[in-house]
Amino acid sequence: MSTEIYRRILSHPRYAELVKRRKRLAWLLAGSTLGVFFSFVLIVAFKPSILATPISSTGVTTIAIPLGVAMIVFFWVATGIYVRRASRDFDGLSDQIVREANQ
Amino acid sequence: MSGLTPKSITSLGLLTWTGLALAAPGSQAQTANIPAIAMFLLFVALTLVITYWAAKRTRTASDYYAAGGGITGTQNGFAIAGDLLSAATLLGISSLIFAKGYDGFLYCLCLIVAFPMILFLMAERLRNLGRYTFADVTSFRLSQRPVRTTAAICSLTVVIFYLIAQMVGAGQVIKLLFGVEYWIAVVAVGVLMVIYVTFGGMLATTWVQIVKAVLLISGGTLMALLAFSKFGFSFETMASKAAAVHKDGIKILAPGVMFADPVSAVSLALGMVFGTAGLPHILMRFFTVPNAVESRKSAFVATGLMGFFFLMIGLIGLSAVVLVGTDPQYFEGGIVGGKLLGGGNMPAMHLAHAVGGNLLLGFMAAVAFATILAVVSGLALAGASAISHDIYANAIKKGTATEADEIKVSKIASLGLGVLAVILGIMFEKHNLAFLSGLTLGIAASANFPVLILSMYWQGLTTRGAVLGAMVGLISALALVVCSKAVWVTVLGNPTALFPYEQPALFSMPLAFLAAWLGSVLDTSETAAREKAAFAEQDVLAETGFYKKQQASPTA
Repeated sequence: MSTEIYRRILSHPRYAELVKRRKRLAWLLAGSTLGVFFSFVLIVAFKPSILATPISSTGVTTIAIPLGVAMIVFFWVATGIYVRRASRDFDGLSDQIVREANQ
Repeated sequence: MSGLTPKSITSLGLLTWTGLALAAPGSQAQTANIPAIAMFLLFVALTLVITYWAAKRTRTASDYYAAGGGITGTQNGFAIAGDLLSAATLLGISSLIFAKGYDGFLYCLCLIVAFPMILFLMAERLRNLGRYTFADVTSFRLSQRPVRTTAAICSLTVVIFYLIAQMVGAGQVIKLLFGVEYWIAVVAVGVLMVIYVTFGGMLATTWVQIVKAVLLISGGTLMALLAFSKFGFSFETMASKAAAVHKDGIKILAPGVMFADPVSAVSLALGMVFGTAGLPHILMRFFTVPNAVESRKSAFVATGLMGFFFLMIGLIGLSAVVLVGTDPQYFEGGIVGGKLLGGGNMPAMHLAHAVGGNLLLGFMAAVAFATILAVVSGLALAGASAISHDIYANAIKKGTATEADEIKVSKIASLGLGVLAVILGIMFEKHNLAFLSGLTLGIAASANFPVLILSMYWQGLTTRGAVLGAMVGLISALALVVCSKAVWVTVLGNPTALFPYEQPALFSMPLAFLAAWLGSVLDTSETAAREKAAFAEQDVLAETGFYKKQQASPTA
């Protein structure tokens, strides 16, 4: 029985669109998150002195500190973007496809 | 087991309390004993009430393993954050920042980045494909017996090593903060853990974790803000004072002090990110929510909470450099720069005393104990589920076991794991276990993560590939850690390490992926062809969760 529904979902005109759009968003966000993070790790591994640059000529605070905070904020915002886009764009479409396939 | 009534839970708990309370007067050094013990007892009492409440609501296997799918996304977010914010995070990372500066903060970045990855690639698929354990997902279209057995072996290895690390840490921290004997502390943790898990299942384990997460995050925030206020809430003032008094001076404000070679740094980051995304007790939490929508929300909430707490940890570690690091009362013999009272893991606790007196120290000590309890309970439940759901119900009984039997096996398994954890915890008291955290995450990253992600995204994965990938990941991560300096030289006493780096993941993860790929493409059997063909339906289910949406109403 489930196999029959699965075939109907798969052949639903909008299913391919749903999968394509969601995958694009997920891999875009995953790629940028990993990209940002591992760029930072590679700098730490090979050229940490870049990160020791102070942010102002008078202070001791290095650029590594705002960068670290910014990364944490970025990761959280990225999860927020995914959750928002998924609820707004994908849940309704997914529900509609499953509902129509069940009819 | 089943003969124990809720009444006897309470009396068991009482036994533990008296054990602690009786042992307390034995130490004179700890002035914070009374508030710490009072607050800890309050926490234990609350968790036992939670367990009693949860026990009455836990009947079916779904209740036991997944809290009936009735945890909301926000609640689950707190519980996930709580799982990752262990005593090791609170005490260990703040002490790393205290000792090495920014490099300690890198650990925070590695831990947090796992959650966006879990959200984008795994959270919804886990919820749509699995029921209780992550092996539900890996074995979805593959041969149940071999895949589940392998997954359970890998899960149990991770859980047991993680438990040993937590138990030994627990014994040492509790001995110090509460003045009780090491073995009493370990037994108390073991007994309470078994009570939460066997009687309250996932519902109790989740709520204990939520209560603790709230306590830990609020206590940590209070401490960080009190400490920050000593510098007029100016980061620059705090940083310049810290750099002025630290032996590494200005270097502590940027990374690069701690890592000897680039390979170890990259390997550590890989292991921490993908290891976290392969921890069985974290993955299991994604099955406690009713649907993919809540599953997403939990990753969002967990990321936010952890990010916030890690910023607080950063403040705690750096301010401790000034407020603890220059105060003779926190050093043995009053020699500033010498050995810290209570050992290297104590800066956060000393800071609590420095900014909030005995009351805040007592509170944070109780929170540290609570943290250990909550984390070991989650681990024990994940380990017990691997035994009962994957090995007993599916690999041995091939799905014919009754729910009651399955739960019974799980309860016996959690009791067994509790006893094992206590024995190992006592056995390893005097050992240097620094290698354990790298090992646990290395194994999770190499044995669990590759097979899990391939099973969800790669049509070509077959049973042979999944088993081979997990085994190669497990064995290579284990072997590399044994051959590294932390075990080969420090524990086994050999002159030089066979493996020159500290972390295995950079090598063991690619090996696991390679083995899974090779095992799959070389498998030309009919079964393999069937498994590959079944991917299409699995993928539709992963994308839409159509089975679940068919059901009229969610299970209560």
